[in-house]
This record gives sequence, C-alpha cells and structure tokens, in this order.
Amino acid sequence: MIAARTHLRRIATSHALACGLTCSVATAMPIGTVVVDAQRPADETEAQRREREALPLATVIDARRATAAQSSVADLLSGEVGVHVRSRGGLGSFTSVSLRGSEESEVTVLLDGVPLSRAASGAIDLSEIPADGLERIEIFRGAPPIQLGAEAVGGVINLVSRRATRAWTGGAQLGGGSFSARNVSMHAGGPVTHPRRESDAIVAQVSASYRGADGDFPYFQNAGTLRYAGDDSTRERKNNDFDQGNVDVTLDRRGTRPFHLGVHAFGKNQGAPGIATLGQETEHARLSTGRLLLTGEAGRHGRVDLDVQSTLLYERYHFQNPLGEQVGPYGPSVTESEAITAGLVPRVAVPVGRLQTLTFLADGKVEHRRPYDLLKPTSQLDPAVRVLLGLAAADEVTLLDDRLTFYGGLRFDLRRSSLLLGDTGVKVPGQRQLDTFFSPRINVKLAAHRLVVLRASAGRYVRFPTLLEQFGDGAFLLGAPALHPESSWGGDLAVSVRGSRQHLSGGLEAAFFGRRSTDLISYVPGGATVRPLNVGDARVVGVEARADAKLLSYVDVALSYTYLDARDVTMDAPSRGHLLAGRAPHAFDARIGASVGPLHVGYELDYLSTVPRDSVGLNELPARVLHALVASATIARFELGLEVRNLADTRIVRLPLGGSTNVGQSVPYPLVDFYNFPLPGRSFYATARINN
Amino acid sequence: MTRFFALALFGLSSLAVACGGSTSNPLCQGKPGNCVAVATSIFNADFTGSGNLDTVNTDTRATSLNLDTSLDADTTLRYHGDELYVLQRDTGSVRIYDPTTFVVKSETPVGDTDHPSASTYAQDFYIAPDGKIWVSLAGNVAASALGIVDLATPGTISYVALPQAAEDTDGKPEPFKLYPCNGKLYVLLQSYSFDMNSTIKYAPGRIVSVDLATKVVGTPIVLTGTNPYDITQVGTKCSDVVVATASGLTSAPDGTGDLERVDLTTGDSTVLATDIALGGRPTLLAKAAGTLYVGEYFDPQPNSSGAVYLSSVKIIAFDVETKKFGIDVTGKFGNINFMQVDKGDLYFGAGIYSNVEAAGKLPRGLYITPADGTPLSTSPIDLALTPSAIAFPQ
Repeated sequence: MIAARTHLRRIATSHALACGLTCSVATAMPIGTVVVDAQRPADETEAQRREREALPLATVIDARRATAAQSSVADLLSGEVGVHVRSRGGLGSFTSVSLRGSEESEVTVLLDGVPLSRAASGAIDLSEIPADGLERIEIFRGAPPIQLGAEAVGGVINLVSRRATRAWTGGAQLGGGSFSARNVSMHAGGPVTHPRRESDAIVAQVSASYRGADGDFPYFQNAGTLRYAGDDSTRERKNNDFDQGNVDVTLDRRGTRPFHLGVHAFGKNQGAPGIATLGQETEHARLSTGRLLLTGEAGRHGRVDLDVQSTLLYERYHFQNPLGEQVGPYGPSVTESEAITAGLVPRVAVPVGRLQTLTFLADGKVEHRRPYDLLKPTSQLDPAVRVLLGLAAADEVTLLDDRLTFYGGLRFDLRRSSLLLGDTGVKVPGQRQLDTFFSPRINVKLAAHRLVVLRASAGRYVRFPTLLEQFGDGAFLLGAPALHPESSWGGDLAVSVRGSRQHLSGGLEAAFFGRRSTDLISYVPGGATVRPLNVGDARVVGVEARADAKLLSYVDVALSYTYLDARDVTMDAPSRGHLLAGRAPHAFDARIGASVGPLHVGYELDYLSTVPRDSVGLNELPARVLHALVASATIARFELGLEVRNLADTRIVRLPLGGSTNVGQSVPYPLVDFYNFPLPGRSFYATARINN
Repeated sequence: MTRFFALALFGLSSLAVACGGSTSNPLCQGKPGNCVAVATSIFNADFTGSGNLDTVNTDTRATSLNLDTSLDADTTLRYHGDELYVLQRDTGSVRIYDPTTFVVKSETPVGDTDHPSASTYAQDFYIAPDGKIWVSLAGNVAASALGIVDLATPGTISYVALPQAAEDTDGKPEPFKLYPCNGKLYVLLQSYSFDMNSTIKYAPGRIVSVDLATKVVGTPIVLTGTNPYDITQVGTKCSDVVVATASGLTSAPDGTGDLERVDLTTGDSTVLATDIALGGRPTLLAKAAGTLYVGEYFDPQPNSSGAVYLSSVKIIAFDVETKKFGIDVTGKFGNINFMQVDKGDLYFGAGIYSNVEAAGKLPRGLYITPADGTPLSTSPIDLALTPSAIAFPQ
C-alpha cells in the first residue's frame, strides 16, 4: 500500500495530472468501466485516498459493477486498450491475457499485491478469479511500482479485493442467461468496532458468490478438413460446463496503525472439453481447482510509514481423464498437484525534505510444489522447492510545484530452486539452481500544460521459470531444469490531453511503447508431451490510443485502438522477422452509451484484425467483428440489466487459404479463439442487483 | 521491331525463371519429371503446426515455395498417375493436387461420423490399383485399424481390424508404415501404450499382412526389436526386406532396437545389427545398389528427472549381405524426417527441432547427394522451413 503513492499523491493534485496515459476517466465514464473517482467513498481515509491516487499509472476497472456476462476478471478486462484476452471457449473456460503483445505467461497477476500461482503453472487462468469479491482491477503496462515485483515482462495486473467502509453497505445480485449461465452473489461490509476515534474502527467485508454455466452452445465445426464440406456441421458443445464458488473476507483498520487481514477461498469444477473444431471432443475429462489465500498486513504510519505484509497461498489441482480422451496427457490419467507459497514483505517509506520520499522493501517467498499420480500411488513424485528473495529501493522527487515528478526504483531479485529428491535420489542433470536479476525502472511525469500531461517510463524486468516449468508435472509437461529466466527491457512515451467545458468533457491519450525480450520461455510440443524452452528473442513496438467524451450527461463515447508490431528477432531462426503468433496487429474497441433518467442503453463493438497462427506468418486467423447491446434501468436501489453478446450471431467466419495457388480463396471456419476453441454465438444475459 | 519483341520475350522468360516463387508453379509446368514435391513444416509453441507445399527443380535446385500453406505439419506425399496425393496426418484427410498447377482438386476425410478424422492419427497410405486408398490409422479405438477410403464416396470408410499384441494394453495395435508386395499390404504394427505418467511402453514389433483382394489378415510376424519404423526391399524379391525397429527415442540404445532382415513369405527374421552395434536407434531406411542407408538417432543427452533423449540423427551406410558398417554419410543433424533414393541420388530432409540443442548440427534443408556410398558432398537446398515429406513424380 505504500506503493509509489507519495509522489503520485503529489502529482494528483489536479485532475489533469491525475489522469495519465491509460487512465479510464471518470468524467466520461465508458460503459462497463468505472473509475474509482466515480465511486469515491464519502468516508475515505487518508490512506485510502493516497492509495486511490496512486492509480494514475494504471488503467483501473471497477469490478463492483460486473454483470451476468462478466463473470470473471477476464470478462472485465476484455475491451481495454492494449489488452488481448485469450479464452479457450468462453463461459468459464481457461482464459489468459496478453498485454501489449506479451506472452500470457509473462503477465504477472496479483491479488492484493500477492502473486498468484507462480508455483503451480505458467499462466494464470483468469476465468478462475470471479469479479464478485473484487473492488477494482489495476492494469500496469509500463513500469510498475517496485512492490509489485520484478516479474513484469508483460505487465502486471493487480486485483484489489473489496474493502469495507465505516458505513454499513451491502448488496446482492442474481443473474442468468444463455447456455444456463447463472450467478448469485452477495456482499456486506461495515464497522465491527466503534472506538472513540473513528479512524481506529475495524471494518469487515464479506463477499460470496456462485457462478456456473452448462456451456452447451451450438458451434460450427469443419472436422479439420478445410476443403471438404461434407463433414461440416453444427454441433452442441459437450463437457463444457463449470461451477465455481468463492468466499472473500477482509478485516481492516485504517488510521495511523492500520492492519488488514484477508481470507480468499475459491473452488471450481469444470469440464475439459477439448478442441472441438478438429472434431476432438471429450465427454469425461474434468479439472478441479481449489485455492486458499491468507493475507495479513500491519503498519505504523506517521512521518515514516512502516508496513509488513505476509501471505500464505495454497493451491490444489486435480485433473482426471479416465478414458484417455484426447486432452491432456496421453492415455488415462488422474493427476493432482498442490502448491504452497509463503511470503513476507516489510516496507518502509521515509520522507527526505519536502520534495523527496525514499522507499525500501525486502521481499521473501518460499514455494513448494508436489505432484501426485493417483492412478499410480506407488509412484512417488518428488516435490520441488523455490526460494525467492528481493531487495528494492525507490526514490520519488517532485519539482516545479509538483508539475514534474521522477520516480526511480531498483530491485535485486534472487531465485534458488531445487527438486527435493526422494528415496530414488536421482540427480537432476543440468539443474539451474541460482539466478540473480537487477531490475531498474524509472517514471517521469510532466504536467506540460493545464490540460496536457507527458509521461515516460522504462525498466528491465524478468520472468523466472516456474517450478512446474523446471521440473514438470509428471505427465504432459516435461521439466526443463536448465531453463534460463526470460528478461526484457521496455519503455513507453505517452501524452494525455483532458479537459471539460460546460456540458462537454473528454480526453485523448496516446502512447508509444516498445520492448525487447531475450530468452523467451515458450512451450514446444515434442511427441506426446510439451517442454518449456528458451526459444529466442522478440521485439515489440506499438501504439495505444484512447479517446472518450461525454456530452450533456446523456451520451458517452469511448474508443480505444492498439497497433502492435511484435516480431521474432531470434538469430538464425526461420521465424526471424515474422510477427509473433497470436498477436493481432490491430485491435479496436468502441463503446457508445446514452442515458435518459433511470434508463441506459449502450452499444459495443469489438474488432480484432487477422491474427498470425504460426511463427513464420503462413497462416492466420481471420479478422472478426463482434457487436453487443447493453441496457439497464435503475430505480432507487434496484438495477436491472440486460445484455446481448455477439449480436449478429457470428459463428462462422471466412478463413483465407494461404499459398500462391490459393490467392483469393477462403473457406468457412468456426469463430474461435487463438487456441482454436469455438466461441458461442448470440447470447443473452440478465442481471438484477440491489445495493444498499 | 522483331528484334525488340524477341528481346522482350527473352527478358520476360528470364524474369519468369528468376522470380520462381511468384507464380503458381513456374518450375514444374510441362516438365514435372524434373520436379519433386516437398512438404515443409513448422511446429508452434501453442501445440499447433503448419505445413507448406513446395517444389524443387532437381536439375537447377531452384525452388517454388509456399504453393499451399494450408497443409498439416505432418504429411505424407505420394505421386500416383497424374496426381499428387497428400495425406494430412493431423486433420486426417487425403488431398489430391494437380501436379502441374498444384491446385487442390479434392479433399477426402479418412474418418467418419463415429471416428472423427482428426483423431484417427493417419500414418501412411497406399493407393490400390482400384483407386481406393488404404490408410493406417493409429488413433481412436474403433478406427485403430486399416481404413479403406473410396474417393467416390467421401465420408464413408470401411475398416480392416488388425490384431492386438498381448503385451499392448491400450487395445490399439498402432499401424504405421505400409508396404505392398505380391497382392498383399504389409503393415508395421508399433503396438505401444502409455502408462499413467505418459511413459511409452512397447510390445514386440510385428508385421501383419492384409490381402488386398479378400481383406483377410494374416498371422503376424513377430520381430525381435520393438517399435518398427521403416521397411524397405533389399533383395530381388519384394518379400526380402529389412525392417528398422527404433524402440524408444527417449532412451539410450539397449538392444531393443535393431535392423532385421525379414522374409515376408516365410516369416523368418534375422537380426542384422542391434541398436547397440549401430550406435543409435534406426528409424529410416533407403536402399541403393549395394548400400543400405540407415538413418539413426543417437547422442543421448540428459533430460529432466534423470532420463535421456536422443538429440542427434545421422545417416550411415550398411552392407546387408556382409553385415558390415560403411561410412558415416552425413554427420550430425537435429532431425531427419525422410530419406529416399531416386534415380541414383539420396534425398533427405533435415532440420533442427526447436527443443533440441542446435550447436554442432548441420544446417536445415533438402539434401541431394549421390547414392553411391560416398559421404555427403553437397550443400542443402534451403526451403525456409524444415523439409518433412517428399514425393517423386512417376
């Protein structure tokens, strides 16, 4: 919570300064994206205010207004500038995010500043994280504050759990829709103690939710035979259901001696339906996931701020494929793994004079992961352990009456990992045990004019291999003990112009960004298994632009566009010079809304250009345009919402055939995500909500 | 004026030759005998792969790349009459191309409603005299057999069940390469299964015959080695063959792989050399005059968890009659996907898997070298990607 907040507090003294590069702006609130300003609690504390004002470096999404269709973090992220959501079928299926053309495993996801799941997997499944227990989502594309770690090659997404205020609030939501999508959630929060000093009050927040769907949508499939239409058909998705629930409890005290306790429990059971577009479907393969995260934080705030954060994260995965259907490891399998991560982070912020603040922190974590094979209990699989230590310092300086701000930080991270060998005692050859990494970063922000803010950032980041990647899962994923950490240099240069006059307000924000990555870690198939490898180098440059406007409080418009040129620059590789697979060069998102009294209607357009499917640019997924309509009515505390997604019921697109003999030819192809999983056609969702 | 037109014509024709890749098929039109069709492949990090169809003029070494980029990463190519057949092994279909324009004339699935094409794991195919296509299908349980595809009725397929080995626990005999001889189709059965850790287990390799007319399945010939990978004729009779059994490619040679000379008529099998003697696991065979070329994986490297994988492949010469090893023909490659002899030359396609150490390996490309027992003497033809299959016009 100390964050980079001091200097940000200073530079946030004007609204123009407060809105940085990609800040979603409250004054022109786009549909589905609400900035914290719009929700500012009346009894906000100084600590809260400072934390809130630390957000201009990030895009902020208000998670408290999630609808039935926005069941997860991934749904809320969809449509944000620079964000490319990669689902594997929608409606609760595995979903990950690419920021500014990054690999999905390069994006660090944190819950209240605690990295999720790095012990257990490469990429975080964002569909597992329901929006219900969250207050907001912060997206850091450029240099993040030092306390968010060095692993920011592809950016950082920080999920902030819902916190109570000193006034009792509560609410409930009930929703449902197509393909048996259903959700119910409730939350309540308020003071549980009433001391003489109001700021010493302890507040509690409880959130609970259930979400599920059958996911049995119709989809077009061509059985993989592009040029034979005889086996094309429309089928119903099977084994695509999911049920998930979560409970979040937080206990907070603010003031000069703040503390925070959090308990976040999550469970999910889902089908593993397979890539249906190739005719490969399963009926029995299933995946179950459980997670329990305990967080604690205590501090003493005065002239010097001191905070200590501790975390304990337990995760368990259970995959069963009793018939050996074509998903996951070959042959029948029942595998399970558990991972435990414990961390401790002390931090101190010391003001130096009137214009400077120094921040120091230490970061220690221990990860332990053990795989099991339940069909072969006698096969003892060895656990893996990793120790991560970090030291960091940051300096914030403000000049020119707070119009110019420098924020510089340096982290040193050390990783030591090993396989704890059992009775077999087989030495793992080539095991890479120790890695060290320096991660400098700098942010500069200048209020060049009353309406104009310039910003630049640069930094060096790392992506350490996970325990899973180093030592495998005992089944599908082979370990690579000698895997090098992936690293990158990145930076951006941005300008934002924002203003308002009488009945019109709006802004324009644009940024140029670039990144050079080395030793990219990627999963490479080989026979029946895949293996993580350092496959090469990449260079990413791009432009993000966002414009929004609000007229007469009736009409709001938000447009965002991302241009991306992400290329392989690996020496002597066939892929050198080609666009990286899975990155769309162009993405455009438009949201237009109109409000009259209690009624609101909106239209959303989501355009994604052709996406390279392979590393040498020979094949690509076709461009797609999806439309949606949203409507809501608010009467007192009640709100009723209705959404229609994929309005045009697009289920078939035209796939251009590559090659000199196929110029101008295309064939029908299912609407799919990057991984070839089919996506649903037109779908309806309704949400009823009551808030106190 | 005449001179002007003559010069213009000459210039245009020169330009057409120089810009070989820009039109549909400048190399082979009207002269397919000098062209070979080559598929190249790339495998992606997201578990997918892509394949391309290229042509190479064997006289000039000129290439025409990316004629069709919608191929599977795994393909088998074969000319038959005036057409080029491509077995798409990932999606499970047979495409027929015009051999001069390389335009797809048809695509026929090798699966049906109950056995989705993409899960049949098609491995090899044989075009019978009646035009029906026999395909070895190693995939879904019901189709783990030979499939007979009638191009006239796409979407329907008949099956010939193949015998399962007692030691093979998954119920699938995993048919692989096909070898026609004397009215029968001989099928290499790899007979593997996976345990719970995806560790592969091999039953003894077998060869089984299927009568092309009656579809009667013969008694399997049981081999000494496991995981039969290739078969080639070595004697004057088509029934006199050598079989390469590769055993596993994730373990060092231990005698479970070998070269065996098999009489398909009597079923007699004689081990010519074990993988220990060979110094590697044999996977590819090609016969030219007195030399049998053997492609073998070797150079075990440590894997995670203490296992090894065979990180390199080379081609050696072997004398079948004397059982003596000849020279090391090639040196070390990352992988070799095919090896064939045509008109006195040895063709092989080599590359480097991205998951294998590239240091010290010879470069990727299509190699054409005299098949006279001498060492590799030519540089590769670069096709931009790794050559994965080849077909020679008849």
